[in-house]
Amino acid sequence: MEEYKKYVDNQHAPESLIADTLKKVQAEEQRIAETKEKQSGARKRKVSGKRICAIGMTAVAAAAALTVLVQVYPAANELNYQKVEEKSFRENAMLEEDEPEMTLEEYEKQLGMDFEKLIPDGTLIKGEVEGEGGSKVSLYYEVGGSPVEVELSDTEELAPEELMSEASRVEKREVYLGQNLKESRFFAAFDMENVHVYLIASHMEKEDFEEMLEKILKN
Amino acid sequence: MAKTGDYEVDTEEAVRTYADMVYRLACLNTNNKETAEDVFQTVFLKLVQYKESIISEEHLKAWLIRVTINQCKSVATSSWNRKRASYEDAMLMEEPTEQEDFSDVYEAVRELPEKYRQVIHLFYYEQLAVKDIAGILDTKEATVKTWLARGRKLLNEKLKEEYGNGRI
Repeated sequence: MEEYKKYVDNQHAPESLIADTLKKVQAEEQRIAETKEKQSGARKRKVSGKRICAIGMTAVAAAAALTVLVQVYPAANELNYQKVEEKSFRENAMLEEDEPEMTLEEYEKQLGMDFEKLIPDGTLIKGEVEGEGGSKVSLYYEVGGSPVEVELSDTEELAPEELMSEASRVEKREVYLGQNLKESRFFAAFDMENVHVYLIASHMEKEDFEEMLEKILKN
Repeated sequence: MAKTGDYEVDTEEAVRTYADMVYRLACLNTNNKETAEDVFQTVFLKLVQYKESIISEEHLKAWLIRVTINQCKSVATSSWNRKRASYEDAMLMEEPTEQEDFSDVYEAVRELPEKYRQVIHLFYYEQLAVKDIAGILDTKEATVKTWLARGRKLLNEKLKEEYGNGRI
């Protein structure tokens, strides 16, 4: 294999490609930073005056903060995807910044779920309990190299109201689906044993997203 | 349970550090240079989106390898790429290279079935442990060992038959 190593050693990423990639990376980071800044400003404006209670307010906050254009796409496989123009999952994050009162393990027990096994074929990277009194948990998975964020709560609706306009059936369950093709994101909201689930998959092919959903709902 | 650490990805540094690794993997797994460059850029742009979930340098490297392989698979199955590959394949084969002495082995590795090609490259070139390769490819260590053995055997046969050189 020495010959192979020598050959591959001589392959280098062209400088022009690296330079071009760095430019695109900087532009993307700038765009993300600006988006976060806007969101942060919106949150500060919202919390001034009085504290916003997490429970029951998510949908309202998301709706107010967002411009989500909704359009129903009758897909060939009869799943209905809503077109999501903005990053609703970020906007939907609650406004509380208090220390959570519950650990991830405690939250797992409360919901009666095993977070590591929630997505078959997925690897749980990290999880955070959020909201006042730990009203929800955000879990970050890697599924086939794609990031998947899952929010769970047994007390509050998590998905933006706009996503919930028309349900599809996946594995005989009611699932609300959304997509943002520009940013290669797919969204799903559904209930599992009285737990509200809001899932956002980034940079994933549609068929892989649907396959992942089926596996979760079969699980 | 995975925990949140203090590790933070500097994306620009990651591009510089892992540019060759990602590029080599992309070249090995795509039909042409242009597609390899597309994969290269897509991988690092995904990293910008995903970097907050990376928990260590080892995780970053493994993530980049996994995403590069998946991205190569993704473009390989797109209809547009299949059409483009049909006429650009020839260009790649005829592309002059300064390391022609070693291209027989490289081409033989490239022509291996995907699973063997990946493990051969990751084991011999990236010098990753079987356990790490198993983690990256989401399979068992025993499977990686089997693929390595079969890949080596196929490579030997290919080099003997097509290039008159059975050494690996």
